[in-house]
Amino acid sequence: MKIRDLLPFNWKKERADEKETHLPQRPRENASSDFDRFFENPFVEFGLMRSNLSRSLSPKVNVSETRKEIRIEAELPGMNEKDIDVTIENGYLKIRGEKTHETKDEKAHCVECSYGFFERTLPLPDYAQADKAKAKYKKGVLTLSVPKTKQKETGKRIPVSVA
Amino acid sequence: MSGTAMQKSESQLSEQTQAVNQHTFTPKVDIWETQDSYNLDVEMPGVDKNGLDVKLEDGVLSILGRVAPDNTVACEKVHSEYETGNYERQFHISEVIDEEKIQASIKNGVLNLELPKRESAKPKRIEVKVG
Repeated sequence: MKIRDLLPFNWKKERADEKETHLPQRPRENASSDFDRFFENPFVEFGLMRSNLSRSLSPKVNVSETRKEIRIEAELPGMNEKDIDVTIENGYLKIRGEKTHETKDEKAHCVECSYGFFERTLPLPDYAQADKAKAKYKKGVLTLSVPKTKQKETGKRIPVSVA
Repeated sequence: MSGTAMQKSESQLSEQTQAVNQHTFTPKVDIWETQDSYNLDVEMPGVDKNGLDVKLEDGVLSILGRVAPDNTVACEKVHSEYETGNYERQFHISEVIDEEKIQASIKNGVLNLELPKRESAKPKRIEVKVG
């Protein structure tokens, strides 16, 4: 299995297609039908909410793969390495932390940077060696390298004999 | 310059960045004002001291941050949310700022610029005497 198939961002794409094709669309009878629809398919609304929330701090992530390892890079400028928490549990990699700005007696003229708590979760493929993962924080970029186990043939080989 | 001492101006690609043939991004900036100075925080993930070029010319403060090219072995991009490239942004500096005393430091991908105000621009308390 490719790591691409495991990434939740790609799942979302597929789900969005499914939603359009498979969900029966009821004709609008009156205003309350919108309300009913919310309970039938609440994730549509949550999907919208999530896109609005993305304006708050959510580190951007790049994932690449070499023959030996999976490399995950996250843009986290201006953090303290102590405030970044990386865990791997049950095949899921979680990056979380909090970016703060010490406000003294200051007047803000322009605030484009995001502050606050963030959390990102990425599923790892089964050939990722979680116990050998390494993380480093340099120049505002968090780099995680997770070595891969040697790919073994999965499944049972059945010998073919001549009858 | 209506209140603020700085005015943003989005700059075009400079010759330097074009030569490298990379993307150029406008870094995100926070501007804070204290009694004595203006402080700029410029987010430039991937940039360190060596890749940084801060210039002041004719009242224009130019910031250029270069990201070192990735020299790692061949890898397959699996998922990409951001691209790497250089950062460039310019600010007009008003006369309120003491150009000689500007200080810059970079830590963890954030450039901090301290632009101290001139003595004449700082708020002063005027003592009231009993007549």
